Amino acid sequence: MQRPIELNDTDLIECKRTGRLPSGVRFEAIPSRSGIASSIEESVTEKEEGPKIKRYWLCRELIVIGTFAAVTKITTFLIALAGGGMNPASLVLKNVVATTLLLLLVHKVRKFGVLSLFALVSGLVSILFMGGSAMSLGGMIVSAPLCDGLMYLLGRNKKPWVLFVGIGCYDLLTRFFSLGFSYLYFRETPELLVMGVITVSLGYIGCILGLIGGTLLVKEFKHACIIRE
Amino acid sequence: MSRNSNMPALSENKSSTTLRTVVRKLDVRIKMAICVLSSLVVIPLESLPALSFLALGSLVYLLMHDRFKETLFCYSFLVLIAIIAVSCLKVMCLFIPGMDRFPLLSLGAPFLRVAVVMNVVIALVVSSRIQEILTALKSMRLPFFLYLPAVVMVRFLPTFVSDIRQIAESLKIRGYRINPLTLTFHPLLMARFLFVPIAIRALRNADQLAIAAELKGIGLVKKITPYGQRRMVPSDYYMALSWLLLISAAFVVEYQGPALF
Repeated sequence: MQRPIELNDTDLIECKRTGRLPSGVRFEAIPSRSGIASSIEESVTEKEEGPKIKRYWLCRELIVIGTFAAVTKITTFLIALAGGGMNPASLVLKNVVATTLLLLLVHKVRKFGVLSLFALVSGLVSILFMGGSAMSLGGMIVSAPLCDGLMYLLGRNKKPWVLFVGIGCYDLLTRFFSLGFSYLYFRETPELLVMGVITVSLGYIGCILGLIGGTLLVKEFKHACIIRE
Repeated sequence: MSRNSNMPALSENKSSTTLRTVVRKLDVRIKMAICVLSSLVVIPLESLPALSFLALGSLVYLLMHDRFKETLFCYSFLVLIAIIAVSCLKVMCLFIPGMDRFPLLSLGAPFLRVAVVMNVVIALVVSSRIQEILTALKSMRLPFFLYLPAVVMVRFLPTFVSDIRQIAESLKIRGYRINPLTLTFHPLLMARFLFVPIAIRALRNADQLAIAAELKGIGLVKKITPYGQRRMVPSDYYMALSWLLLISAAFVVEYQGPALF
């Protein structure tokens, strides 16, 4: 990049009037650091705030992930509360809602690693503020990168059926690992695990319904331009 | 009337409420550490005396926050879940003959674990403001891709709860009630009425927040100026030490219990 030197007031007025530099103006090279902004903007930015950095995750994508993590947590908790605890209908409904929201999220943020980041953020907030056990959340954190890898290999997160398969596998693997970790909580009464298996199976039926319902919902939202590719 | 009866000396009550005041003004980071530690510690503990000891200690910690209504509500819910679990087990015993051999007391350990975790989480939730939690998250120096979604999640929760309340009120105006009966017998209808507005609001709020954040330049530079950092005071360290002693005592009861009792 270059900038003109030795511009007097007349040249500046001429430049503003015509939109072009006057003839005979000499130039000098600007040492470009980021190649993004003018020297004035660069010096202000670097002196006051530090250099601008490029990130893989855009700010809006991180905010969408945080929003959906909050929505999923709250809706599943409220449905469980409103349903009265161990209610099979509310158990299925809770999983329908969670899976649909997850499907909406991966359609909105189509990047490799979205499931892993979602699991990490949900797990972090759960451990710090909701008493979630690090071991029971391990299921989510282990299965999320596997499913991210699967979605990337199948179609680089672009095709809807890839996202469908990815979320279905994520739900299945999460429940599989969670059953293993929940044994630690109920190891004195392993018979209670039978209830756990029944609960998890009912939950997975809800996930499958959520995948079907979520696909229809995504189609409607795309038509309404709420979700854009 | 004498001045003494009109204006009882405040210092008379000061010493009795000092411990409660200290507990309520604890740093959020200490409360978070207590939550994490409790959720990890309950897993290796197996015996009822050790878990009961820890549950009692955590209940005392919770009661010091003077939020009896919330405590009573959560314990009622826990008792309800326990009754439902026992009833389901009794029903399963009718169909699976081998299941009727274990005593009811063996259900105590899982529920005591849940009680310990529930006590510390309620204590954190009722005594911490959103800004304190956000400041504590900032002080943990998490990477940006974890920090921003976590902050949005914590900050967005109250907004979202009020959105759900508005949706529920609008359904009530139209004559639709949300209760366990309607959720059980009309799940698809309830899902449509509740879920679609929630999803649309969440997407709209996420877009608005994202635009606001980008206009403020969040994420473009390395340095974010923290808002009002709080330093740890000696009472925070004393509470952390008390919890470590409580957990150590629980482990002593767990492994030396038969010798002690």
